[in-house]
Amino acid sequence: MSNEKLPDNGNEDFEHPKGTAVIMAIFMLLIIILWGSVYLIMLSRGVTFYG
Amino acid sequence: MANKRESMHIDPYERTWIMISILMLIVFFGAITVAGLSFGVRVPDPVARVDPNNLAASGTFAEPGLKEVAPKRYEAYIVAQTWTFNPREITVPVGSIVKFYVTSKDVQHGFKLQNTNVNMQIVPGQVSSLAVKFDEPGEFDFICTEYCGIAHAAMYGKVIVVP
Amino acid sequence: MTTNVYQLTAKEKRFIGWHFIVAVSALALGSLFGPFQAMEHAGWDFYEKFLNPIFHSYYAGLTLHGVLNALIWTTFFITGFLTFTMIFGLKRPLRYPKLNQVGFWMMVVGLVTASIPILLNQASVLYTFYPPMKAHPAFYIGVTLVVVGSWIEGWGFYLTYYQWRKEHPNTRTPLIAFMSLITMVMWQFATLGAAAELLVDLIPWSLGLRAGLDPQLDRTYFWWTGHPLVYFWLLPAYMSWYAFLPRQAGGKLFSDSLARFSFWLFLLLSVPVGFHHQYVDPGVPSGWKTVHSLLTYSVFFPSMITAFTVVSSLENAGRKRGGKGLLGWIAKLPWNDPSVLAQLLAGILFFFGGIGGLINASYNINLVTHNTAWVPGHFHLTVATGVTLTFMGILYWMVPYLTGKELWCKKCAVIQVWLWFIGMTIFSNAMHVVGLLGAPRRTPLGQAPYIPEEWAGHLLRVGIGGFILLISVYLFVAVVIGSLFTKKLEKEVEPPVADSLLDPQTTPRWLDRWVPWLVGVVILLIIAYGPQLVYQISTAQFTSPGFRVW
Ligand code: HEM
Ligand SMILES: [Cu+2]
Ligand SMILES: [Cu+2]
Repeated sequence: MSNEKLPDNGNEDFEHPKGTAVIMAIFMLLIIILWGSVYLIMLSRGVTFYG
Repeated sequence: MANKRESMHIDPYERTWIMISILMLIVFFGAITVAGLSFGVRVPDPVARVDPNNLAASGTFAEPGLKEVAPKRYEAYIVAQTWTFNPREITVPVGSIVKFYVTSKDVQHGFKLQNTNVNMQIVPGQVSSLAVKFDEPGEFDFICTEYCGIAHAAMYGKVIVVP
Repeated sequence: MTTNVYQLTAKEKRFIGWHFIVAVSALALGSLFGPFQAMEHAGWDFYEKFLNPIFHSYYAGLTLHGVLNALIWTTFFITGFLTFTMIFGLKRPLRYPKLNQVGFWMMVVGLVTASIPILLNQASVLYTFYPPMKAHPAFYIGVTLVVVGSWIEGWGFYLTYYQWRKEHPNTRTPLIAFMSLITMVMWQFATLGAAAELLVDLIPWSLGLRAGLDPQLDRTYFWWTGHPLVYFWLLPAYMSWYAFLPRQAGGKLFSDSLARFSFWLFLLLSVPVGFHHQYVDPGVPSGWKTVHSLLTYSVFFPSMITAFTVVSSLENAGRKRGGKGLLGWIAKLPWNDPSVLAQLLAGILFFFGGIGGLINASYNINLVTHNTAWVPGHFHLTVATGVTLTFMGILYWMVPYLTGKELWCKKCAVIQVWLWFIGMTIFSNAMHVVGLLGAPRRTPLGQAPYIPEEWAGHLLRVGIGGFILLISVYLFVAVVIGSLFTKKLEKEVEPPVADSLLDPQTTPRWLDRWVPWLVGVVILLIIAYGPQLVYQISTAQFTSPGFRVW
């Protein structure tokens, strides 16, 4: 096993994933736009239940 | 080896991302719940069982077609079968609310009324039901959306909404 | 992972290789029909011209397409790949190699048994085989043998793991072995539904031992399996993105513990969500549909973890390669390596597949998309690209690894991957749009009498995308076959298994314990399915005789 490693080797090349955060923000925006537009299509096609 | 520090290693950015995702899912779920409960965009619920081999004996499907239950309120009983709907054509006045009841006498079919939210799986032995209000005059195709055999592509009918 | 890499024996490599030979052959035949279907939609009906009379109809072809691609290509690839990841991950041979061989050959026998009736047009029931359409019994028996064969291979993995665990009581299960085991365990819970449907209903019924079936109940059985089936395809692709891709790109896995945590959640949540395929079924109460909708939303959560963790591992790689600024690291990734390229492009399209999945899962929004062309548009981004293109990428390093020979025409491989990406982008976008406009799936739209004018442009794009994909599929097959005849590599391929940023031994122990999670799976299944199964079985009407309608 990896005996040569120290327990706290976690700080090795540690950096916050800034770029990933940007990509995820774009992704989230896309989700909201696309999901929202199909949601609106659904609303525009009317009701299926009349009490 | 056994006493290494255990940790989940979640980067603060990743934690934030997870929180925002969860929030988004909650908002979305709220939106569809409102659409269902308050606006009435709902999915089918069980309404009845029938014997697919003997639809004539099951009352409502003995004579498929349109029944007026109140002014401008109709019930449409439709039998799906390879490879047609019975009846294939329904005429209603504009402003009508039509509740569809559809079943199959053979294999599974689909029933999708174009440009509305009526979209149902048709399963032998079961009755699928959703309603729609026709606010504009025109023609609305209902098409079979489930593979039901070699001529499935030809299986459709229409609702004619007259002024 | 740095020292004492386990060398697979020639025999082990050959065994894995056989899985891939069957898988790629299935894809080569199965994917012939996809482009033909797509071109049919555009009005170019080559079915009549080229495929008749060998393949009798659009539906004989569509059945082959679904079965060979979605069931055979995937299952054979996955069992082969997991055999590798188990052995390589645990650094030991299979405990009972014979058992795994029995599983493999049972799958092959099943494949042959199921294929014959399909080819003879005796089973044009599509890969979902909904009763009361009735296929030749050999079709159902063959499918059953494939599933049981895959179980047996899975049992071989468990026994191997059990032995390893006895020898290494305090070590964290190596990540790739851990992920392989989760995939297999999930699959065995998942296939209980299909097993019930096939063994209790379809096989006796097709043999004439039962007079009638309840098609609604069989839909419920089927979708118990049908949804987690997609996670059976997906988890090995995720494994490649988590545990191989970072190394291939020159970095490390960003978080070992989150990778494991997400796999546990997939195990927990993949199965109890099947009613999301039955939102518009007449025989399932809408309350239960809501419950499954909520659970499906929960599966989105580990997918979001996966997205972040995989992309940040890539960022780590790109930065190590000298990428600067917010997004400069993207350009530094090895885009010219076909294996990396395939996985990156697969991942990009899979993002969109995920969005479409969330839309389908959204209960009443399903009224817009159910059984429209949108749905194949969606799953060609997920299984036919996210998964398939990733598997192709895996083969681009694994074929040289297994044969010890060079990849033939690396440039062709790069072009193949781009063609797949471009073709699929055009194809699936058009399918999504025309589906929103109301076009049904499983329909030769070139023959349908109700096609409005406004669909035509989109259907044309479906055909164009399909044509590009046709080229891509056979370029892939050519590269794989070509690679069997190239010259020997000087240095053996080293399997690119990524290290994680933190030593896996620091991953919390509760992420390496089976019992609590398995108990959780069972409880959740009982809650999500128990009441409806009891209700549907106790009120079942076995009234539907079989029909042959093709
Ligand atoms: C080579 C490129 C491909 C093209 C152009 C293509 C095209 C199509 C088209 C047009 C359909 C819809 C047919 C219809 O609904 O009438 C379809 C269905 C399907 N495809 Fe593909 N496909 C391709 C590859 C794949 C791959 C690689 C997989 C899986 C790994 C796959 C899995 C499926 C499945 C499961 C169906 C549904 C079959 C059914 O409805 O029963 N396809 N494909
Ligand atoms: Cu049909
Ligand atoms: Cu699903």
